Amino acid sequence: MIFYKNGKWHICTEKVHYTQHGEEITQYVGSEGHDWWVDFEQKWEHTEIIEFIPVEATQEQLDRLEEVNQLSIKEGFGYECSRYVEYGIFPEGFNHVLRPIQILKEQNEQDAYLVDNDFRLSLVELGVSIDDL
Amino acid sequence: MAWDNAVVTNNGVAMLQQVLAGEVLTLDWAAGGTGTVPPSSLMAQTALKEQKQNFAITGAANVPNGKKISVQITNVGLMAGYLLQQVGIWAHVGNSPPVLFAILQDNTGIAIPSGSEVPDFAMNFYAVIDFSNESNFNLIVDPSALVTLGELNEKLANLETKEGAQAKANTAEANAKAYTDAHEQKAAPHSGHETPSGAQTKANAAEANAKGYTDTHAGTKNTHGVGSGYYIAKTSRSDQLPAWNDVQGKPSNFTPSAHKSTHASSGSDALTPSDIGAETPAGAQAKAEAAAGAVQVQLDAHVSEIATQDKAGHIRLSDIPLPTIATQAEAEAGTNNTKFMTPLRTHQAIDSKVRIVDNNMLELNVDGELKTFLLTYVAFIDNTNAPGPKYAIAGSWDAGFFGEVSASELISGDALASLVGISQGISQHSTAGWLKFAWQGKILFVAKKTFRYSISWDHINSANAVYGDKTVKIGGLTYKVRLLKGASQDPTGAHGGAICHGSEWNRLMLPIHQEAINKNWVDPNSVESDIPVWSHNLGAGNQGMYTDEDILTHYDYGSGSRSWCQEVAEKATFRISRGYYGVSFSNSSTSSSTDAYYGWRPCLELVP
Repeated sequence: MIFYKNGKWHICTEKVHYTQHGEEITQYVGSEGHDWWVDFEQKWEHTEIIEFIPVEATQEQLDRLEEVNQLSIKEGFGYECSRYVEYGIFPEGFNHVLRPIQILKEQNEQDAYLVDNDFRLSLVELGVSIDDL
Repeated sequence: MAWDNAVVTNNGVAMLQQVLAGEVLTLDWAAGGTGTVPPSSLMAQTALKEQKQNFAITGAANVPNGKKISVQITNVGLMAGYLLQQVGIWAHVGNSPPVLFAILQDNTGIAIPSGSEVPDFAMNFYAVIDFSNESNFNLIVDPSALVTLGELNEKLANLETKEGAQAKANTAEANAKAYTDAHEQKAAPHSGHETPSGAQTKANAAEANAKGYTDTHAGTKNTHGVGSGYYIAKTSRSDQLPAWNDVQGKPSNFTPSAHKSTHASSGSDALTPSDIGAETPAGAQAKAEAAAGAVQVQLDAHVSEIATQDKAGHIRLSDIPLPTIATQAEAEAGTNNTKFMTPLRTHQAIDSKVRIVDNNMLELNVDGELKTFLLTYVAFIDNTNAPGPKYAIAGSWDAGFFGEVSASELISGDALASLVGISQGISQHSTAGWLKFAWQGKILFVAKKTFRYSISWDHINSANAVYGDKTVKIGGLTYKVRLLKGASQDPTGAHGGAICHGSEWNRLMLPIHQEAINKNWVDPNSVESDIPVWSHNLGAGNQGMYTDEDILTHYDYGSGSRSWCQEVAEKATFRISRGYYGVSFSNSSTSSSTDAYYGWRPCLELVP
């Protein structure tokens, strides 16, 4: 869903839907760009573009893209970054380029949980039921 | 027996048309069979319903508007009787193979007994074929055909009787005798007879002619017609006895017999020294002494010659002065022109002017000041017009490294993908550039990093870009587009280990990696022991060598770290890949896999 160009990651703005050797394929238009596909279709009889499909990124996806770019992740990690930006999925394990974001998110979740838990305990100590609120 | 269903087949009609056009029709054989077909289908038949036996065609006679063909039917060799309901006739035109020409059919048929039931069964069958007498027509008569009684009687009726022949012979003999007797009574001369006197006259004339010719006959070789190498001796007449010069073919030299003893000192014809111009012993002694005296005079004169500055002569060793060796200071100064230089002084003099430091710097004394120059080692030179460095950093033409070539000098990954028709996978590192190698006398460019990931081997192969079968033109030069060989055999039978030793990947990608320095390979079994170190400073690793990150051969540094290679691995559907845990790592996977780990690292082989 994203590609690397000029030192940062970008959201793909469109997908290309095409047939090649009779098989229908849809994939993001990446760093190669729209014109590369048009030229490719003209060069090769085995490929016929059916349509270019615009991609509308959600705000969550744009937010995650911003997080990725803040980490200055180098080119070559398109697979991991795309999965995170598109679906919010982190790579497995603890040794990956998105680990700082993952740690931050886990920390925030934990902080929120602790605050919530503390609040609940305070209510209990005051003799107020959460259902009364 | 009706046999009224008789037709010339469609094939026969076609042959008759050819006959009318001038071709020759040849009847080959007939055959009999049992079973029938509807009359309307007869012309289309190409074989009998159920053929039982072959028949001989014994004759053919002209009848109005056609041929009457005689077919002899016998049961010779027929093991079982049958009902003859179809008779077919095979013929051919020109060189064509025989086909069913005509077919006759009778629903009632004729019972043909077997040879054991009725020996010597025979009958004639006649078929009239309606076509022009003027047509070209051949008939093959089977010589094995049996003769029927009727045919035999017909032939015998035409034979001459014994009595008739005798009467004709007697008449001829009487006529011959009468003619001979009449001829004998005729008087000579007449044709064939000569009188005695006439014969004698002719004989006398012939004898006289022969004598006259012989007496005047010249005796030369040519007259007698004798060939070269033979000679005629003229001895039959006294005036032709051969003179010495007339003897032909005689030898020109005669070898004398040995007679040395007659010329010896005590021989009958002894020779003296003066006879043969020889010197006497006393004369020889006198001449030798005279010569020795002359030499003595010359020698005495030479011994007395003493060498001077401008004259050759004798000189004593004690008169020659010993050489003076220059000091180190004099040698380094280089100003004295009378002292000698030893090898040591020569070395010291050169060393003071120029010297190599740390094997990569040159210190040069320029007008008394030492100036340092950084040296670049040139292993060999690329004299092709291929882009990138011309001077090799290390190795040889067999396997060597020139350095890096930018995408702008050669081609980007995206442009190459478009050029070869590869769209699968996701583009990355399109402008990472190329590594330039020499390999077995050829120039190879290998992508520094994989240009696409999530791409299958099958997809690369569908673009014909695995084995170098596809060529592209870049900058006026032609390149084969292929993958590197990750193993030294194909199929490999394994996913790593010794099968990788000596492969293109090992001999090119490993010597430029920092692990080549200490041989601390991640996958040591897949690496042979003699991987060289091609020192360079293009990488970020130890001593400037490449790291796995530099050339994307470890998954920690991004997608596509497993580079697809050419070879079939331990299964027919598996292919070798190199990288993933490090540059030396070898593994295999199904060729259709599009995992993000897999990458396209093309190799461009310059076509000379």
